[in-house]
Amino acid sequence: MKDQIHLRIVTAGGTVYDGQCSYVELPLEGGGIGVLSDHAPTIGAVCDGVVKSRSDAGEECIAVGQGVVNIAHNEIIVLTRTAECAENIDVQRAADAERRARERLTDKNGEWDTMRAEAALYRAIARQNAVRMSGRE
Amino acid sequence: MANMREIRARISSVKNTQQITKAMKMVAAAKLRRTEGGMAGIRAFAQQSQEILDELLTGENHYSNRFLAPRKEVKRVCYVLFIGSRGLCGVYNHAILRYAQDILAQEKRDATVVVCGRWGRDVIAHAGLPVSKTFAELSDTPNMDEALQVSEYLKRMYLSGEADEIHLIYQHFRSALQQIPSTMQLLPATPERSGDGTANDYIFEPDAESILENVMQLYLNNTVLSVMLEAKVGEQAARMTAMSTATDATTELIGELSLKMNRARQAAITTEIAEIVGGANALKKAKK
Repeated sequence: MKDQIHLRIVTAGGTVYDGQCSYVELPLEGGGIGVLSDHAPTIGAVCDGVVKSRSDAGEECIAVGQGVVNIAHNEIIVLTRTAECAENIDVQRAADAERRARERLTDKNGEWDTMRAEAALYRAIARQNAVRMSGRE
Repeated sequence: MANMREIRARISSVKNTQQITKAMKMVAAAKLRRTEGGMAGIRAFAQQSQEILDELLTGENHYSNRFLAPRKEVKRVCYVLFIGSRGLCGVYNHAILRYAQDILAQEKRDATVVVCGRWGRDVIAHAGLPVSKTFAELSDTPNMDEALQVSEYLKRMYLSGEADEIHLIYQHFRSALQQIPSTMQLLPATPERSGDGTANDYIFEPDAESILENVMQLYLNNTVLSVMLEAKVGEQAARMTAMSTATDATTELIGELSLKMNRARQAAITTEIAEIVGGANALKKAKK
């Protein structure tokens, strides 16, 4: 298939990913969606998860945080608070973060509120999933 | 007239100072350039999120959000003061502090202050501001992680009802030579609306409310980061100007001191010659 979709993943710090691809998988709050070329204009709420893009050159996995996505005329722009390409993720750090978040969730007396710990947990899991899905272990 | 050795010591000490101010000016210039680079990145991001926000807020779409709706009764107000991390930047810190003091003096509701920046903890405490929290460990080139710390804190404060309104106080960066103390309301948010609804008939996935929630989260983080960057750029610019002035002043001082030094040397030589001539004359007289 021709790579017709222009995918950009942007954070406030700069553009993390910018490339052409033929198919994109996005983690939305109501469940993941797959986008092929000539998708109807859509705005979606992105949750912590993995964006997968498929092109002739192969597959790329990018861990993203909360954000929004704007799909229109074969342009996909993901705006998110954090984004990291799978090859840049420190697996050990993500695993540590997951463990810490789980500890905080079980420790009810701590000053950490559940919402923050849960958010941290989802982020850590998303980052590890990105690495797993890209096949780099 | 001061003696030569003293003047020489002064000159060398002024020269040392000049080297320091020159170096500091250069460091500030480099940091200024780096922070300005960060501002360019954030502008692109802000433009994109603005487009989505427009789509959600203009036209017939009226979606409500917990960050947008003003509260009926505003009892507690929080001011976030963005101050420099160091001194030696002219009136930058003092100007913003005085500005904040004026605002708080006029504020009749319950007010608290959150300080972002390391400068002058004692001065701020002495100024009588009701500081509830200080973010002191912010770097010279603010990044998203630091902005998230602050913005998450402010969001929690707002949602828990500790504050019904949150305002940011910072130096607005007009140019490298001019920064203007200004305020901006962060929460409840008042995003600009450019008004021109796009022609795309968007599908909202899963629904407009959750998208708006996410956009607002991004918008708030983004606003905090951009204000942080702006304040920092202003600080570096102010420091650059101050250090440039200081370097000029030392050059002038060195000029003056060298003149004094030359005069003193000339005077010493003249005295010496006079003494020698006097001595020779005395010897001549004695021989006769």
